[in-house]
Amino acid sequence: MAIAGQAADVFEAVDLRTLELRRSERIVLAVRQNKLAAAGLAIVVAALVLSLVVPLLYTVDPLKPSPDVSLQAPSGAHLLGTDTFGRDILSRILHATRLDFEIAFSVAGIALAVGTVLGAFAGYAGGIVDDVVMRIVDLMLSFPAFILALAITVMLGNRVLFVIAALAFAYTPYFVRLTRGEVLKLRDAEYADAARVVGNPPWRVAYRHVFPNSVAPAVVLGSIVLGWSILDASALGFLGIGIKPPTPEWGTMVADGSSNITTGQWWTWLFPGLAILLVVLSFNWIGDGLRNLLRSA
Amino acid sequence: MEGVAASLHPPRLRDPGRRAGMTSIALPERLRARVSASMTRFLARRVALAILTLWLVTIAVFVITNILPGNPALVRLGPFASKAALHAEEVRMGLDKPLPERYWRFVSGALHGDLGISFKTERPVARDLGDRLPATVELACAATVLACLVGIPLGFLAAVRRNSRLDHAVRSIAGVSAAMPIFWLGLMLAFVFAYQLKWAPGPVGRLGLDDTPPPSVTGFYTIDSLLAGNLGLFARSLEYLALPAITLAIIELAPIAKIARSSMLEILDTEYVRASRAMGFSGWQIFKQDALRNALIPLFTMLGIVLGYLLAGNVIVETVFSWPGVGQYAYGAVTSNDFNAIQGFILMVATIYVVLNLVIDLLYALIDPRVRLG
Repeated sequence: MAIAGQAADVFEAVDLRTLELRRSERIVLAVRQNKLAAAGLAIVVAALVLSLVVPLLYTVDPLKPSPDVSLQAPSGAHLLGTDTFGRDILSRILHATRLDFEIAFSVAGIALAVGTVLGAFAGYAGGIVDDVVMRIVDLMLSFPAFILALAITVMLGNRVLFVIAALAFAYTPYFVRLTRGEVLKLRDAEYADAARVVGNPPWRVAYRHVFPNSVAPAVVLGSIVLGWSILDASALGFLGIGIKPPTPEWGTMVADGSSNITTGQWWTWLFPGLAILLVVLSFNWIGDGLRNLLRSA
Repeated sequence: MEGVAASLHPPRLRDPGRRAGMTSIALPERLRARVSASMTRFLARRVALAILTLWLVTIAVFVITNILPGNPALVRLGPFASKAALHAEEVRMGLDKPLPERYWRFVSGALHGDLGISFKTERPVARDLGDRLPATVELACAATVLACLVGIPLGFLAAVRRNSRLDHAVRSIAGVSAAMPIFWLGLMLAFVFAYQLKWAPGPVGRLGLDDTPPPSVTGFYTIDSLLAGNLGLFARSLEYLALPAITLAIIELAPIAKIARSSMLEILDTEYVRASRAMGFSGWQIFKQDALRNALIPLFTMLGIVLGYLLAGNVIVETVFSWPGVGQYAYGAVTSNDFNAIQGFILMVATIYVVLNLVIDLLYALIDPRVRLG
């Protein structure tokens, strides 16, 4: 789970050089140079496509129990075997991809949007606004993100929407802190001074010159938060929080299969966990690739 | 070049570590007074900040559990409770009182160590948590020691042999462990080592059913069994501790090895290391004299964060391994809507986290004068 990796990654993400991300050729070039990032991107895209296309082709119902094929080992009929209720594991994993990706992209998207705007605002405004925002950020960072999300989800109720809200809330301060630091640095950059000297009003300097350049590190962090939120959402699912039982989700699937470790069936819990590992690894690789891209620029 | 310089037997001027301000240097009287004054000022400021944070934490916990749309009485009784029953429960839980009064009761209770009564165990939450804390701390300490023993040398070696096969291996391991779902890792270890190979006992807690826990002194079964002179029990408590501790340690390994590697890389690139190289000190001497202690400082900060996050990871690992610590208690509280227990657990985690970071910051300032003077 994202418990400890977070801190290390944030530390590394902090001192990034900035660059305009819009130059697509540059991205393509860097991705080509960075094989792991390319592999990660390929896996994520493949998973996305599979989760959208497969329900049309592989029409095994992920929810329908069939007790006569309970706990079948992987075979030609059921490629990854079946669970206790005789549901097809492969079908469930593929359907879960959609839900897990929805959660991840919503969480990272919201946290990125809210966090960068707040951080840029606090950094540029300075003074009391900055103090208040940063105190709140410090406060939120004094709870481990997972515990914060867990508490909020429990209090709001067991719904996917609340899982997303809670995780987005828990991850926003990381983006605030990162973007604020970046804005503070760029506010005094020479090109910002130059823009002021030629008579641009402050809002235009901020809007045109400082903010766009301070977003890049947050984008790197965003791709890493994609992975963290899958780890955290699946951990919540594993604990039975947020996702209601028949709905396929990787963490809840591992939880469903966990009782089988005593009786020797490994496929019920191994494959959904492998899916989490693979996807989170991919997001991290993409993040590392983006980071290298920024550093080399 | 290094060889040539070494053959000249350069005079050993001073312990190069000293130049980084690491060891106690005999300071002139006036300077020493200034250092202690700056330390006191730093201490006062940092403690005040910690108290402020803790106060804000109580507000945050109160907001999460009282003001968010969720109704604790509803959470407690479930969605099918009648209006009358709901109202009675609200009165019983004191939810009909105005918010400031409820907040005041919560904070003054917490200050007196009163976190309310658990609905599930019907005992004071503070006592429940206190009883279970040693199990959690024992597990967290074992995991952290293990992760440091493996992760720090690996990270340092990877930095010294940069871009070697070992470096790539260490980075790959750290990468995979950072992406590993901890509950899945725990299941895998339990499946392989407890159920298939039968090297370790199953995930059933701190000791088997027919073992009697040692008389409690520290609350750590490993230490208490040694104190009782019961070596057999010590061995068994280690067996039960092994799998959950290894699970947590593997997850912790990623940030520890990563920071160890990057801080060592940074040190090896400094001017004083280059100066030592120019003087002809061998790689091992430089590592021992210049690099080792300086590279440990960032790890120290990291450790505070890792230990704090362990409290979160524990909820899952303790659930997987039926480890009777505070994490498992929190899981039980969450699944049975035990409102006071959830509130108490969050407050405890946040408090431990804040205090831990305070202690680390203070030790950090003690080691590195730049922190308190800056």
